[in-house]
Amino acid sequence: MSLNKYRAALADFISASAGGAAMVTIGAKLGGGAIQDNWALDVEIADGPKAGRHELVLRSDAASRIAESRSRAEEVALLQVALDAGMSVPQPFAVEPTGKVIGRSFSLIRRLSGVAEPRQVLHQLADLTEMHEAEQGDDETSEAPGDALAHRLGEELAKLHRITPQAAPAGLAFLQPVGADLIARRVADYRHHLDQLPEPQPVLEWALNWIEDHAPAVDRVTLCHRDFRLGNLLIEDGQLTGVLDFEFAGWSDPDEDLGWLCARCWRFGAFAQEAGGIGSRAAFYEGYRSIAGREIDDRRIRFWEIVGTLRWAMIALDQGERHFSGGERSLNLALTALRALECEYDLLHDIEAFDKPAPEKKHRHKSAGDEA
Amino acid sequence: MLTRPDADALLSIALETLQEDLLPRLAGDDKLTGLMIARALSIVQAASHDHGEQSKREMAEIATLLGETPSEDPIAARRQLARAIRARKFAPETPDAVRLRDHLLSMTAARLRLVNVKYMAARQRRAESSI
Repeated sequence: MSLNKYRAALADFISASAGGAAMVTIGAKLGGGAIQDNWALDVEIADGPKAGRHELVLRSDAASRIAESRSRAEEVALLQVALDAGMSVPQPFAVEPTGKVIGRSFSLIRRLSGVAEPRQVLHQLADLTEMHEAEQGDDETSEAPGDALAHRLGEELAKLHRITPQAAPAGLAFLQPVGADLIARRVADYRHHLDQLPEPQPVLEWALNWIEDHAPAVDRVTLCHRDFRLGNLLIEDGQLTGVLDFEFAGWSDPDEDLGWLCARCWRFGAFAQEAGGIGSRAAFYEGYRSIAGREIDDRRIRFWEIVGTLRWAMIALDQGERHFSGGERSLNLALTALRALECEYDLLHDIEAFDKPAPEKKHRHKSAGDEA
Repeated sequence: MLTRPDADALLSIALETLQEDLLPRLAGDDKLTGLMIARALSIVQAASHDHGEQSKREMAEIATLLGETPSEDPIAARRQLARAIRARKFAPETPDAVRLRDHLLSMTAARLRLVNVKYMAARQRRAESSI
């Protein structure tokens, strides 16, 4: 899809919503959108309350979508709530839900600096780590760049998790309520989903039985991002500049978000860096604890890692079906379906290891108490 | 039937040409596309060496697990196994459950070996924390 032919229609839409004459320059298509298409958009508004230059991102649905993803209007409402909670997220600018302007619904959000592509982020961190190690000499108390970022990510998630259904902003009324039967309902949904796939999945059936049998009680429900991991985080010079993609956000057990980031499938091959391939689990937990003010039950997080691994396997299979169904022919989508095998392999090992304590290992993360 | 070159030899030289001649000259999105094509061809090459042995082994193991002869169609047989798992035919902590997990692991490992053997190797180099 090319946006250039819609330039005039976009200018009209932005002029009407911003209350001032707008001139639009369409930039490059941005990476990272498996389910959404993202374009850079520069807008000059001549007059009115939003007069000035605006660097934006236009986010529209891709040619085919998966069932779990939210509409653009819902995603904008979630972004606003996250912004109000103090998170680093792009500020919403406008939303067009009808599809009448460019043939698809879209949102416009502020463009932030930084890169989201996981390999680029990991290279960035590797370079920073090398510099850090050269500079620190014998001083082993200073925090490694990856651990500092993992700590920051923990803080960021904890801010989102302060939003509860009991004190929910009115703008989130579209979110489905969840209760203590959250995991049982999730298992039922996943089984239903498996029934819709063209091929049987014995390993995923096996894992679902295990999840059903080992589900912890869910006694805390908060707003959750539900896709908080590299690829959806903008990073610049090793620092978080923005959390993106609230397309799966909803009410859930907050430990689901922590488990999702730590799940092996989101470490991008950097398995030893258990917090998203970035830094240590200890640093991530400590960052979370510093804002949330509650202790983290590591066993619950590991349970949710297993749920997350199963969920990613199912998303990967769905992505493949977008190709196989003819909705969007793509080698990338076809290859993504094969990622489910990695998840199955992880499920078979991680479920067996769940009850086996790993050997003690010292970590170098500096906690607040170490300052003294 | 082609013999000189046969399908395997053609695939092999196509992959070699892609990897050694073309890929080094590509950049950006074209390089990513080239790498995906190389990966797809590598998977096809690995899968072509199987000659159905894996499928025969899977069918035999499913027959043992189910205690009956499954459908001759591998997908249908796998579906019978999936249904038995959901119906809780393999009670936890029983020899049947151990046999089931062994079967699932060996089949998954065999498929993953074709698709991404590096993932298995990296996964086996455990270096993880205790919390």
